[in-house]
Amino acid sequence: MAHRKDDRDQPATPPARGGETAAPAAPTPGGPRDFTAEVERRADGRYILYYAWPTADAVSVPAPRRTRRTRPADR
Amino acid sequence: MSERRWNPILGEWVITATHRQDRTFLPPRDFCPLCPTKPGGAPTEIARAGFDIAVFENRFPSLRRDPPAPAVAGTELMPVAPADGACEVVVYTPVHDGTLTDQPLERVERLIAVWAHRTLVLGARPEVAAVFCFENKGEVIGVTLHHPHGQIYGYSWLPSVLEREADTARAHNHRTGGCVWCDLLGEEIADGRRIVATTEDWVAVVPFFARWPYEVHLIPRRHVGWLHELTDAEIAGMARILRTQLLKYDALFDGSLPYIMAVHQRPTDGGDHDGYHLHVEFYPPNRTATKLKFLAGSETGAGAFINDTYAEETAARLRELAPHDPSDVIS
Repeated sequence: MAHRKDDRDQPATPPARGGETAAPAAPTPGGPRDFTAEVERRADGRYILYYAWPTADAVSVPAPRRTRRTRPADR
Repeated sequence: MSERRWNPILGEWVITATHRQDRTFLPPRDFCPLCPTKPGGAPTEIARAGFDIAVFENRFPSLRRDPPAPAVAGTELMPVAPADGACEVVVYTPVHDGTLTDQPLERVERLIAVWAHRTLVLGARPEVAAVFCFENKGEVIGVTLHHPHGQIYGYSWLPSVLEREADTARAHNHRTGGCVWCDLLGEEIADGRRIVATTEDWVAVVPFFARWPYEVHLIPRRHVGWLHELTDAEIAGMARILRTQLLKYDALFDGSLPYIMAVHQRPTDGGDHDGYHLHVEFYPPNRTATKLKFLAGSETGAGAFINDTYAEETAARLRELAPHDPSDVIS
């Protein structure tokens, strides 16, 4: 699992400030943690994450340019 | 615009966020900023429709990373500090109408997974001491947008309630070697009178010390501190008991019940918090169908809550409402 303290939009194992550890449970295929989260930046610098699941019935919209995809394996 | 001011009398920080006076207030449905942007329509906060749940930085944040310098100078007695931290908005669904109660179990499970993910991300920030997921529901609570949504705050200090919980949990742990919530849960289960619902992994209870008439706490049976520690089965159980509680609330007075929902997790400040136990607290303001409980003189002025009801009786009433058992919630 990635642990990138310098990437504020990506998951890591908290707390980075102390010595405690608590590894997140591993995602199960098809489970609630089996999602993708696409990150976009607005013109004003704010981020937005679009969460989607493989079985989602949401309308598919092509991803805009300059997005970054986070797959479960990266979590 | 936004800063923290220290109250040396109560020993707590107060956030000032004057820009929030200008935030969007109960817009007409066609101008909802949380609906996906319509083709040819005015841009909203959500640029696309192809998602299940969206999370974005609040346009009117109380806390932010890289906050501006305070507008006033503090003193040694009353210091001022930048309002650093995080304020996120969680949009539960692209669909405008409805509430969290109306969302199917699967979506509630996914929302819990999103809360867990945001806890991981925000909790890893060096400046974030506590991640707080919550929802304000209903105009009487102060909701300014009707689209189903909640919020997540990342505090750069431990706010008073979370600090008191952490302190008492630590003291109990040092004194007994145990967890105050685990011990409380054991007593509540043994007594049974204040239990509202149970699953294999979760218990819903009107606590012995409830401050609000229909206050309910959801507590996992296993000692965990953060949402991301839950197993998939425990997430499923949490979604089921949460949805059960929401359905009971709406059945209570035959209408959509306002509430504050607060997810309390172990602080992320690296302190001694092994005794802290994840739980969810609900505070509905209604004491009857038409009467609200207000935080008046004793509550606001002195900090002493007065509850007009017995927890044993409100728990019994909630227990009798459908769904009677979380296993009855099938979708």
